[in-house]
Amino acid sequence: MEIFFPIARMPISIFAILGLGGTVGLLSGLFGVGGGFLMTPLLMMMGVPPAVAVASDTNQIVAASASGTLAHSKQKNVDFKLGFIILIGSLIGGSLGTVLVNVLRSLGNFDFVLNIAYVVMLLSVGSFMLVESINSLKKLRKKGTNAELTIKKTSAATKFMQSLPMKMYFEVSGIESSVLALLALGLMIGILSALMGVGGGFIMLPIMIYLIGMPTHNAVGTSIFVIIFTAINVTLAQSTLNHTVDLMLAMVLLIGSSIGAQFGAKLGKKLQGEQLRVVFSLIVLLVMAKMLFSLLATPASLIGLGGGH
Amino acid sequence: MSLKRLLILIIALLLMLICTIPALADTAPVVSPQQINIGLNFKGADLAVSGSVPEGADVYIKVTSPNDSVLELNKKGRVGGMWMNVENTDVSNVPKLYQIISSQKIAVLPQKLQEELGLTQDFEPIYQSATVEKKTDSGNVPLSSEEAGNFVSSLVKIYQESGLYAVNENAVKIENGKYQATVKLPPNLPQETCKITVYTVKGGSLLGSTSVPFEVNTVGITSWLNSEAIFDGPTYGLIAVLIALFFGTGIALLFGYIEKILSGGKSGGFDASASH
Repeated sequence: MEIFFPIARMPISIFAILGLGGTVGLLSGLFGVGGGFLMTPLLMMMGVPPAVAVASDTNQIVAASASGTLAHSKQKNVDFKLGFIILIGSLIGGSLGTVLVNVLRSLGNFDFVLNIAYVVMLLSVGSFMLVESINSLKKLRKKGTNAELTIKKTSAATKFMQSLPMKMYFEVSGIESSVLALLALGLMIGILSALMGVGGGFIMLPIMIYLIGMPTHNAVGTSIFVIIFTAINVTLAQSTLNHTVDLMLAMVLLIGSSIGAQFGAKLGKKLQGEQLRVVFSLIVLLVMAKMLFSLLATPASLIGLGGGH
Repeated sequence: MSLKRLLILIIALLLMLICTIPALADTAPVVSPQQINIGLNFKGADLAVSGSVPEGADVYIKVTSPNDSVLELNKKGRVGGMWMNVENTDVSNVPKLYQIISSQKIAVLPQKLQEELGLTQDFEPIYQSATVEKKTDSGNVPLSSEEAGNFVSSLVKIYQESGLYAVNENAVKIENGKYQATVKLPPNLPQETCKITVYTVKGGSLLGSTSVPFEVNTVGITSWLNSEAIFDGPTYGLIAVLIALFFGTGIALLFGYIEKILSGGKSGGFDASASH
């Protein structure tokens, strides 16, 4: 059964999109990351124009994070004060990023920048996860227990963070942090969200935990709060400026991903995380390799249609 | 004698008229459907074209869309080992749809007629009409015909691959003075008023030609989403966000509800492994 997606302007099997959403949702439920960074490249591999893939994925993230926020706000994990400061940065970043998409598209090299950005990001996320999960697997073997991972703080980076001006104390998380650093983090998340169609949780979380020093449960809750508003802003901006949001595509993806995520979350509690993380990081690296190949290999035709269609 | 001759001539002329009048009148092709609707289940469309054809004549059908839109073509080059677009061009005067379906080989037609009617194997008319302008900092600069040719031939190839451009010889069936053909239209059809032109050719000369337009429109939710997205981006964005929020919360609540039922009202999760 195929659906003609109105903005992507192509028919795609509804089961393929549901399957894609479901798989990414399952992974994100298992690992607690948004999965937007897998969704966009996979949509592009299915032939969806890159700009449409990015914008529709952001729309889907609005929905996915809405269900997440509901769960977390009940558990009082959201540090609203800290989240609000990051959000200011990310709203500005998201709007700037959308303009950047527009400029890159008119220059005819949006796809290129997008590909490079993905290769860099997937490579760093994938190898970070791989190293981290292999390390913790080793630890588990040594101890033979399921003891929780202790988070090591890189002392040099922590010192740098502490040296930044405009300190503020955040009661909910019980930490002190520089307002400037939070704004900068937000700015980066916003730009990434617009450019790559990601929520940015996979970058925000490690920074919140390792650099800012937030407790993990606060970091997770607060990042979802930031993501939902960033994604709303970027969806609005992309619709206004680039007309690339395919609502139909986003909704079919959403149905798949939310079902997948529910099963993923339940399944994650039963399975051993570290081994799964190794598999997950390998998937991420595989997608990265595919994208790198497309940048390096001689294209079948040097001349191609621009403008997303 | 001269009267008899004149009579024969008149009869002959009359006979010719009788033959040609219905031939001219009847070649007006019947196209069905006359309107192509692009909805959610659109996978491309088959157009049936039929009509009558004079004895011994061949039928050449040309399907085209207007050539009024401007396209962007990019040329890739190697920069630092990676392939990126290094040349951006605007291409105009190229129709998005160009198909030829015939009952006979195109090569049978005299060269001059091929060019005149736009019935060529290699889409020659496109090369003639297309203009390719390179985008530079100081405005658009037209490319030389040789360079432009490269861009146009790539575009033709892209369109051939997606099925917008096609030549299908011997695909028109002729039986008892009637012809019948199916035009295969791909899903990425331009939303315009397209045209079907039917040429009847006998012995290398054109007997007649008629054309019928057909509409390509989006319908239903596809049409609404399309026009809303393009003409009212902010409202579309707001709708997209609201629907996403509604869906997201709805699905979360639904799953919470299912969980409650499955666990028989007790707290705790439903068994995900049960689904395997």
